[in-house]
Amino acid sequence: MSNFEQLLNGFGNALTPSILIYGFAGCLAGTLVGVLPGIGPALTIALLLPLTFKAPAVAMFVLFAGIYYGGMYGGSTTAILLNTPGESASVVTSLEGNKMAKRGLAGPALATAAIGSFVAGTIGTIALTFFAPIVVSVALTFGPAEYFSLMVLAAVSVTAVLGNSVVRGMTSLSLGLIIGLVGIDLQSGQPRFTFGGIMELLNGVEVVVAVVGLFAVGDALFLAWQGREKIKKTIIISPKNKWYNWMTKKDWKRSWKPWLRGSFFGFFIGALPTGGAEVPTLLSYYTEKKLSKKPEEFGKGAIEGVAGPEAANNAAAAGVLMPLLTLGIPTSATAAVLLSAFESYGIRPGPTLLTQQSNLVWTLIASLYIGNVILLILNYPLVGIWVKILKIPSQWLYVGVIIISSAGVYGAGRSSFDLALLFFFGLIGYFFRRFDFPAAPLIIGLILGPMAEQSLRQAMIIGMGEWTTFVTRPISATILFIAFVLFLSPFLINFYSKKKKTI
Amino acid sequence: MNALRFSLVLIFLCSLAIWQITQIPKSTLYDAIGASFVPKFAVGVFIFFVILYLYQSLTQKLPDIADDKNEKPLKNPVSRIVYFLLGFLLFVLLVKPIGFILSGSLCGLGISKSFDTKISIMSFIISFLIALSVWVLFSVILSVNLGPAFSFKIS
Repeated sequence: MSNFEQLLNGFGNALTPSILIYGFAGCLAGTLVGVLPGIGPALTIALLLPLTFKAPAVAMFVLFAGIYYGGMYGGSTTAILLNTPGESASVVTSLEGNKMAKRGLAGPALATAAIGSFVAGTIGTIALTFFAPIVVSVALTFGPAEYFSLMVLAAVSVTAVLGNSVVRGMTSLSLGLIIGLVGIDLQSGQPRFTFGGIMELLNGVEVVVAVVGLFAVGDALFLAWQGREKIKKTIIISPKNKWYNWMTKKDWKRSWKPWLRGSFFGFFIGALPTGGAEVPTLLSYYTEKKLSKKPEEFGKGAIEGVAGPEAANNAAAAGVLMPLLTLGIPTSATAAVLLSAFESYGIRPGPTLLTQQSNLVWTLIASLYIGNVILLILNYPLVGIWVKILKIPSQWLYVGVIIISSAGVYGAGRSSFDLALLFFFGLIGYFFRRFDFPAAPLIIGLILGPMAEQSLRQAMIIGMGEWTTFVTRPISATILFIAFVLFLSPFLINFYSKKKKTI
Repeated sequence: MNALRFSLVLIFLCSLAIWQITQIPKSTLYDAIGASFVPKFAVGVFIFFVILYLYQSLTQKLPDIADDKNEKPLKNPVSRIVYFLLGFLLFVLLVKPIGFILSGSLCGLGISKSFDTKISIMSFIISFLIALSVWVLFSVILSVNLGPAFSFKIS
């Protein structure tokens, strides 16, 4: 069966009423968590992981895909109307979007964000459809050495590129690696980091506990410590006109090119092992500023500054799925949680996923197309509903977040120990946020650590115990070289900029 | 707490990790790298970067939200943290003996207090309703086992 036929088959599955309901529920929940600050798609998917024992894989992944895409759409609403980005990838949107809203142009800002998200999400999904099989054919030639090198590249680049400091990023990554190694070593049966054989630690630390602790409990604890939530004035600028009058002909003309350029940046950068949506959104913003015929509008509310980054943000969401589905390598916190969802079904993402679970993969890709349409409907005319949700008093919002988080963790195994671990990760999350440590490398390290160790061992066995196996294989050597350069780049940039200043 | 003190917390974590490395038993099975190689490497990297962070915290001003005039905490940050942690601790300790809803309500009370809401019957009722809704959503609608809604097995 050709890829196109498989995609059509995927549409057939995704359009069945039961799967459509999961897709719709995912989009709705995703938009909701995207709108609410402090709750993101990674956390929501992590909380829903206990449900993987109850529902079929196809239905759950369609739900998760809806949450993932919905989170990206919803983040822009708060960024524009409230100047509070729901997602880190929406930070750039708020730069121009909120200024537009203050000038009475909330409608066009929301419209260009929603339509741009739709365009980019669709382009990203089309690119995923066509490029994924190509990446798979390349990945099939990879051995454990190449996989190990790729994981090193992913971990190093996520740490070096994102965040403000390599030292703090690497501290977070290595702590994640250590936490990922907790439990019984599957090869030798030796317990590691189990503090004298604490029973609950023998099976390792669940990703869901770490994600929920770092993002939900840590964030809420940080905000409670700050004590500023109650005095924050919620200034919501609602659009005045009817939704179908939001974009003029001129707005369309100024938006379509940024949408396309943003989609290009978003997908291709998102698909790299560096992953994430922060880099492409920034790149798109500065490109639009440079190419704009009215650069003086930037900083005061330029529509191109909303259209481009929002498109980049959504295309990156599709791009991040590429290394996850084809190589089994997560490059963002949400992708890491999706990987554990695959594992809870006993499915291993990677080059064989497309052949062994073709039904699941193509239904998932088809549901992304459908999800984009659902999200356009949910985000464009129904924006008023999302605005109302933002009026929930913060203290009750965070009580809800903590109780839901605790329920998600407790429901997975009814273990008080897991709740205590949640408490521990919450404290780490608080300190990380306060002292500007990035949390995503910890999650990536936790997931990639055991996988990289497995690949390292396999590569060493194949290479007869020779470490040179990683540098004598050309692909592996190239990947490791890129990882090394990326690791050094922030130090070198810092060194040269200091040198330039002294000259 | 400042960046220097936090780096000391990280050094404490390093010492725990070193202690745990010494506890990994040797395997008699053949393995190219052994069960302790990767943990040793990870701990080594962690120690290296924690020492760098400690050095930075001694020699330069590192980011701390508490120093940012627009973001620094308002009055009584420690008491707010204590209320939050106390509420959460009550939930961890009581969820099995008294069930999800009552322990969740007590947790909610602590958390709402940490966001400067007065402890009152009203705030207990709101926390109770939130815990009840979450229990119904997870246990009844999504069939996730959260245990009994109420329980009185204090032993």
